[in-house]
Amino acid sequence: MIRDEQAYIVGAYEHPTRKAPDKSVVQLHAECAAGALADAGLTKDDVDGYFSAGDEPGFRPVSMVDYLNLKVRHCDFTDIGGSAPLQHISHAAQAIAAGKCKVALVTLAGRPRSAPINFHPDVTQPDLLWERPLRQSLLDIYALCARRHMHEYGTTSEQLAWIKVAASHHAQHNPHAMLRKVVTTQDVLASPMVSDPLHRLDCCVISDGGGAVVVTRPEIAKSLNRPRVKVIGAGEGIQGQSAGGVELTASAARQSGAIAFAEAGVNPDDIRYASIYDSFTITVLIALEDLGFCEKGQGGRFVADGNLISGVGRLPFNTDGGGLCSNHPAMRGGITKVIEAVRQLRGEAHPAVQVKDCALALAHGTGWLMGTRHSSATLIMERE
Amino acid sequence: MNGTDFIAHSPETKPFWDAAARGRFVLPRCRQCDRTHWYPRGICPHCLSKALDWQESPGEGEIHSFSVNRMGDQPYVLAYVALTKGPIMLTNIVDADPDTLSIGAKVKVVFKPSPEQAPVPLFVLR
Ligand SMILES: [Zn+2]
Repeated sequence: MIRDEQAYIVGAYEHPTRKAPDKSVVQLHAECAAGALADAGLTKDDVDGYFSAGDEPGFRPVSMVDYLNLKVRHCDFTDIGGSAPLQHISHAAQAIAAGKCKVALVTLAGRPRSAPINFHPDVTQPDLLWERPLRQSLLDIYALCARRHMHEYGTTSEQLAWIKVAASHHAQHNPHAMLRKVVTTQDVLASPMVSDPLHRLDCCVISDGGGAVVVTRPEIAKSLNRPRVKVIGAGEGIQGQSAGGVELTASAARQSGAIAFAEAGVNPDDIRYASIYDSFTITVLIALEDLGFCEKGQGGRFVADGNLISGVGRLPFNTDGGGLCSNHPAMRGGITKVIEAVRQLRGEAHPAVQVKDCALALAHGTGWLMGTRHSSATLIMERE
Repeated sequence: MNGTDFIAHSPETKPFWDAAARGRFVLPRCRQCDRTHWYPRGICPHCLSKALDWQESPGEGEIHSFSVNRMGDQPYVLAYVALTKGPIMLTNIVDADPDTLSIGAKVKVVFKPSPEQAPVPLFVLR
């Protein structure tokens, strides 16, 4: 149980760039690593654990460790998609508790905006054999979830739009956010229908950039001159098409959330701030239900009328503007979810969106494709 | 991307493609647990038995969910189809006006050969 074993997030850094035409991917990783270590007050020579998730080139973590000239005795390269950095922080906490490393560095970076990713399908991937010949984009797959949720629970496009509206209210205060204009539900509904029932403004941005987080042991955390953020619960899960029993209105967050809350010994009602992975508005709505912030099917009502807006609603979410408005580096933004939660817990979010006395926060990631197969990772963090 | 590259790397599914080439839609059924599955594979994903039969299916079912991509010149429909007493499968609905589709609409399998694509099962309204 993580709470008893104790690991702390002591450093976090988000790359300010959203467009990096003149930087390499490894350079972005390295700048994020340097930023997070500087934030923690540690040096690269303190790092003895490294975690990354496949967004680096070449021999991946081996190339990155060599590029950064790290001397690590523990590394983890688990790639479960966009939720990987959240899982890595959990795995780092476990490795620290097991004595495998003392200072763990987690990085994520990419430049899909400057260099659009050329997807080369893996002909040995068993499910792609049945899917590649179909006409589909990833947003068509998320749209399947949205349509079924609307059918089963009466969820409306306007309710989904409230998720973008809340993100845009927060993004107006973030000078780095790609989309800083406050939008209304009417703006979302008037944006082009890209994959019915999803509109263009139901989708996240495509950005370059990245981020890094440093996790360490209690005695090191206490020696540093930074507010301490303790990881008290973590869960992960994977959900597929269940051999033909696909569930489009529920996600692996049911599992990752339940494990994380049980470990932390807290309830959704206790959470003061939530970072929720937001590749699309429907991604957020389904995750909120599955994490237990509302009953299954009530997500539309829960997000309506600004309930996710800081200072207005009951559950402030993605106060940096999130993937919907700020950034989604490497097409997988999991690390940015942790970084904004750390800012909130330290009281370092923008004053206009900072949650008062934010002592308990949740960060949640969704990796790959909700609707066909995806991963979830949930972290619960406490300000000590 | 060539559909036959995928098929070549998936020898376990050869019976499906052989049947499809003759316009027949077959589903793997497990002799141990008596269940079908989708997508087809060489081992039963319900019980991990290798004792599979390829059973002809009428390929009838209903739309479980669908999306209409409107970004190109022609809209196209991605859908999950729930086969009658069978698995739910990802597919396209073809030869239909997207605006007339609804969840629950009755559909039937059709194979549309194409030089660049494996002849995957698609569905039309019935
Ligand atoms: Zn079986």
